[in-house]
Amino acid sequence: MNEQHVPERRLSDEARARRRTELMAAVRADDRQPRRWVAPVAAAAVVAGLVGGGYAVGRTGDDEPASTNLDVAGSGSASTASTGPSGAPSPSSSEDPEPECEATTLSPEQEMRERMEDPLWEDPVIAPVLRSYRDVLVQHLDPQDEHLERKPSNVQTSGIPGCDFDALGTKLGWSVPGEGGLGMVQIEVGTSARGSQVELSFGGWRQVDEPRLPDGVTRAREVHNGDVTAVLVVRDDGVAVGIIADPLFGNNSTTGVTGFGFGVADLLAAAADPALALPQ
Amino acid sequence: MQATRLGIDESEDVTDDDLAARLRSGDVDAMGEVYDRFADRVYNFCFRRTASWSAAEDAMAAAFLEVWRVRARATAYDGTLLPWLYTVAGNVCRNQLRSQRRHAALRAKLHVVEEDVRVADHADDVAGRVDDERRMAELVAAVSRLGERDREVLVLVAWDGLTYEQAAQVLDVPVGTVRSRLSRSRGRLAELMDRTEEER
Repeated sequence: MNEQHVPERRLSDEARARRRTELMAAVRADDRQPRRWVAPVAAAAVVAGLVGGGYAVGRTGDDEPASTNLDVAGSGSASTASTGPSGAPSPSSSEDPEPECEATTLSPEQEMRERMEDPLWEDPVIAPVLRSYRDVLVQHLDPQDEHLERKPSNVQTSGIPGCDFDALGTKLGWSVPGEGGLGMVQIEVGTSARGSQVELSFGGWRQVDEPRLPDGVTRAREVHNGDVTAVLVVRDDGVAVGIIADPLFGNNSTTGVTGFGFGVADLLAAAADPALALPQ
Repeated sequence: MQATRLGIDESEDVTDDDLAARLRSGDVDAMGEVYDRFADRVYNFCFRRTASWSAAEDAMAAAFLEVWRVRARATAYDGTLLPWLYTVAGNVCRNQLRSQRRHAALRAKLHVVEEDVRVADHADDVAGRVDDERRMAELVAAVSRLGERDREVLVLVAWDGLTYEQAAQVLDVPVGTVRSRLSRSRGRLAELMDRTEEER
């Protein structure tokens, strides 16, 4: 194949100039618009229940509002992915001259078909964010990078259809060399801990004592359920991060791993990492 | 073969790291500079996926629009924006190919008689472009018989001219994985082409 001639050409001057004009016109027009999330999020909200054990859940009565500088609509608002009003104003709508969201015109079935063809975790905006989540997990939980699944292949989200979302996460497999089983580390980054998937997965949460709180963390909770451990952290900037370490990745395996090489302190440190953020 | 450095308008004064930083900050002029610098590279990258110059031009245009949309993620690896641009352009090309396949299926059902639009092409080198497309289609067909992972790495290194490290960045795999996949894909491709020759 290396000896094969692969054709190459330059753009014609006419095409180069025309495409440049079109591009710059579009870019300048876009630059005058407020940045917002539209299509991927709409699809995410609709099909969240289909991918990777995804979910979409309403956030009501939240007592842990996120920071207003997150640039995420729907922060701390009541939002239900499948039934929420597409044009519902965000809490910051009074400050935003253009609060309306662009709702999808596709039916849920069409959305599902589109999304199955074009997985959200491969979306050019979301994929790098999920990879950044993995990077943080590797840094704190798997510094040799020998256990965590290399590439996110699922996504969990919640938010208002057609608008921004208020939580994004993924589940990564955790393997142990020499073992045939598969564990799971799930991470969720959101605007609120209350009603998050991680929180709703367990009862019996306990507050983490002040001395154990990592820097930059306002409060944290932990729970142990058999071999499963989870932490839920609310950072000083309002971002909520939940992490679950489950020795059995039930979606993908019937056999778990014998254990993890990290403890609760590592999970808390990972959750507190300021690199974890929602897409802008 | 290594791709030649086609039509790159590289100013010594402005590095790709600078451009990436300016893109991330939403600098519109930086977008124009990125286009000027990499349009031909992305155009050829898209041609190697679509085997059609016109489709490649459309895909290139869409890719640069996408670059602007995801500008907050702009990153220069080893001092070049190419791996990141190729990542974005690769996604655009995949989407375009899916659309083309759906369109082709529909067109087949409708029994539309396709006119040869190329006769209207003003370019003097229409024949050359058609030859290019035929050759590229053959090459694409050949590598399409490889598994996706092997195909990706072969195309990135052998056709797009990326280094192993850059290809690793695009594919988000370790460099060692790039090496092993490349070795396997080259061997497999040679085997497939030999078999094809025997069958002819």
